[in-house]
Amino acid sequence: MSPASPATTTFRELVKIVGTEHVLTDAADLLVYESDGLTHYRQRPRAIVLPGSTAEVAAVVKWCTATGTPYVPRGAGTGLSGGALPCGTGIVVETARLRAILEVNARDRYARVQCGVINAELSVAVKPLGLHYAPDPSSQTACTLGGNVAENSGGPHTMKYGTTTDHVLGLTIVTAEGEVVELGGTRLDEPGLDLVGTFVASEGTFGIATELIVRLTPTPATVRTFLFAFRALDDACRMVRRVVSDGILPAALEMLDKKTIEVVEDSVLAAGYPRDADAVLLVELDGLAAQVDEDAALVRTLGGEFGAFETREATSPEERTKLWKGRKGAFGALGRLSPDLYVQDVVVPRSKLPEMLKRVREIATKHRVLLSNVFHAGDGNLHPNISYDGRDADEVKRVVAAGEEILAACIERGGSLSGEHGIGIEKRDAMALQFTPDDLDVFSRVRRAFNPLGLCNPDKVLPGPKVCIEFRPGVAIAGVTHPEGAAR
Amino acid sequence: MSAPPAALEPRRGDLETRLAARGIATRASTWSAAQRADLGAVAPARTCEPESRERLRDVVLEAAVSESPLLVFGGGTALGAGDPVARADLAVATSRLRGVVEHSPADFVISVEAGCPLMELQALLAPHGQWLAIEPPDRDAATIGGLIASGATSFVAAQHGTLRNHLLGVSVLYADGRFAKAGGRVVKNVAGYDLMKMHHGALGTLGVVATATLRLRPLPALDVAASAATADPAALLACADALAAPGLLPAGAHFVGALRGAALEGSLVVRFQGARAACDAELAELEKRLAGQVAEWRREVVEGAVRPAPLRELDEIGARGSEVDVGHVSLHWPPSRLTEVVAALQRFGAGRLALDLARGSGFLKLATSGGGGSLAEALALGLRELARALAAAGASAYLQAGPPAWRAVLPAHATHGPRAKIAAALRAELDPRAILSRGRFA
Repeated sequence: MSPASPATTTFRELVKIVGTEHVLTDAADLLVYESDGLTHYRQRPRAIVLPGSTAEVAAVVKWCTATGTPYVPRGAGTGLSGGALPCGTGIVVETARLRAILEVNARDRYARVQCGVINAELSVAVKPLGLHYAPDPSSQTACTLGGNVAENSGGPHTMKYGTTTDHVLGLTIVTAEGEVVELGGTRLDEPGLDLVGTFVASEGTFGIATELIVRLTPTPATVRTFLFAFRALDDACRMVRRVVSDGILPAALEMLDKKTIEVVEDSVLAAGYPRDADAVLLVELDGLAAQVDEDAALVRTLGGEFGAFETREATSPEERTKLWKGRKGAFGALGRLSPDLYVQDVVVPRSKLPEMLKRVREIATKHRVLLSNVFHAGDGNLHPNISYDGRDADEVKRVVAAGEEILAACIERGGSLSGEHGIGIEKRDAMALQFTPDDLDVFSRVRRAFNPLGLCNPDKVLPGPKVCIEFRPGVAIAGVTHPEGAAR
Repeated sequence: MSAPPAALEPRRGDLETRLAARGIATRASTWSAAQRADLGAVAPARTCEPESRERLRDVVLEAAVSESPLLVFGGGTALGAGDPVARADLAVATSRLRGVVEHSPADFVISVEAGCPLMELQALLAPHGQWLAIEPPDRDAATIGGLIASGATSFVAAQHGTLRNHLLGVSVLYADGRFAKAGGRVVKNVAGYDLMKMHHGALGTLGVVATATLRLRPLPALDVAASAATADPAALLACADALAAPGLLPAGAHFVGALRGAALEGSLVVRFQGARAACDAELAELEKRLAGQVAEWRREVVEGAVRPAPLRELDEIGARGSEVDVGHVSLHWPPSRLTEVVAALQRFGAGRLALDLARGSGFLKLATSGGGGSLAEALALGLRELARALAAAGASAYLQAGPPAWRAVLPAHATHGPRAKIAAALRAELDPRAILSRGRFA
């Protein structure tokens, strides 16, 4: 972009703050930012701004406030609910330049990082210290820690270790007024309002977190990973229930259905899952050897009791990696089935898993969509994935209808609209299924307390009139979806 | 959005009369001496005990229309927390809202009303092999709602976290008389804002938590404590470091004892919960790592009412208790600064200590009677120095209960400066007339 372009003139104040090279207004640049991982919503922002410090973020936000310009914070854009979908009348504040790990304190087990640090990079950096960052969404090699804070990201290991909110000790935020405020810190249990906990999971609508103090978790002394293959998905679900009721707290309890197994085995990610299985259950136990060994014996017994026709334990780190590669890469492999993939994310009480899975299959049949299931069984968190061709308007309609029915079915069973992908733009209108008008009113008041002008990530999370998002369902969904590395 | 159940126009009339007109009785308050000491002159003379959610709502609505601030409380064990209540015309006890709404043993989830006493809940869960994995101070009196509001600590937080980590959903009565929920009954949920965290530790200032949904954990096969007497500050540091190194996952690790001048006397008590073999291995490893630091470890199983002496001491020091002339101060430090924190405490030189060596938090409990009335003043001077020394060590101290004069010396919470501005904005949206716990985050 040349410094004299009209866009630069329009945004000359922003250029002053971050420098010419960090304000993008060319059509080709903007195209990249039209959507996040939820590609069937697209909107072109007026500009992309890449601040290089907290102070620059604050100055940019102040400019937005002064000019009434909506702004959307964005990390790596791997989100799957459209939380980083731009506002057509506004700008995107992209955190890619804020990528420094500022401090690692091994003794106190925390790291202070800028919000644009990639999730997996932190774990790699602290590995020599015998530590890791526990939340591990499937997109961890691409997604940013700031984005994780916005979405309260999970991953396969949340069952034991919790989600992002359990691992964030402190935040430096830029408020909607452009003020820099430090919340929380390295000391635990201080009395007062838990503003860190309130901010996490606000999907970028409460402000921009520019620095994070995150908890680091010791790498477990012992890890044992098992594969159980079942002839019937129901048997696998029953085993999950029993594992938990018997008092075992696995690090992960993950399941793949027949369709997913086939697709994974046909891909470069082939993990050696038995092709004739109706379901594969991955059980990972970690902790101290004595505890893990006792639990492992019990889990093996349960596998036999519930009719697993194959039980395999990873006997080396390589084998373990291979077993996980199939699971973590499942979304990528599913991308091979069709041009587009719609990754759904719902939660039901664990005891309702079998009937919910049955219902999901009925819905898929009814709407004639190609559906596969990969899910965090231990948390009751399902990912029914629908493979489709976005160029086929009729198919897109059927995909959307099936998605809506799945949401309704999960709410009927006492579940939740989202376990980890967030509400964003995708499910904001479905919020009324789960929450009453009074519930939603309180949410909107809390948002107003943080974001009184509504300029920070407008139109997301809560239903209501859309200020700047125009959704064009069924209209050409450009390009092949992300799947690899973008899903959780 | 539904309309508020009543027009919130200020109306004249005394709250008690208005409640009576609705058939809602009040009674003379029965504050204990300790509660009276914590509340001071604002302790409401009358208390109301609504028997249902609807009655609770009626009380809040009437308070709103007559602009009469309320003090809602559970077990009444943390009334000294936060800034002093500025005004409360009526106390509202949650004691009759104590039912179990729904228990799903297979899902390890339970929903209870706010007034449900923690120990009743644990007793109900035990036959299912489940528990709410917290062990806060003042357990015998504490209610779930009170624990949420006060953001209480837990003595097994090193392994299980605090109630914050187990709170899956809430139904909250707001100051305009509307109930609204957040979260749900599933263990993983990002639909809607995380208002569970917002209410945890908010001292009831943003709404009255009426119902809470909690994640449960399996009861550990074994719960065992190892304790050892020590008078050596270096042993505390060695213990904290030993536990931080890989291979040990304690449920809790504390020093409990007393300061007598610069001398420190007490016990280390380390707790393990899990499979018997794992606990045995960890106990052996602990003893190995601390060989030479302490003379002898005493192993005791923690089971029901059987509680080893050092854990009983932890209960006493961690709780505000029933004493009248008492000062209760919470301490918080990054674990790596323990040496400086202990040195600062030794210079202060008085009181009983309960220090969580795994998490870096704890309590200092002081008797303030005696010394001809000047003891509290003398201690205040010392506390001012202590607070300075702690700040220099990256640590902090907050007043949980104590003589009014100490308010000038120690803050009550960390919601200050720009954070207070956010707190005020939340308050303006959710309770603009400051009907609930007025003054707590002044």
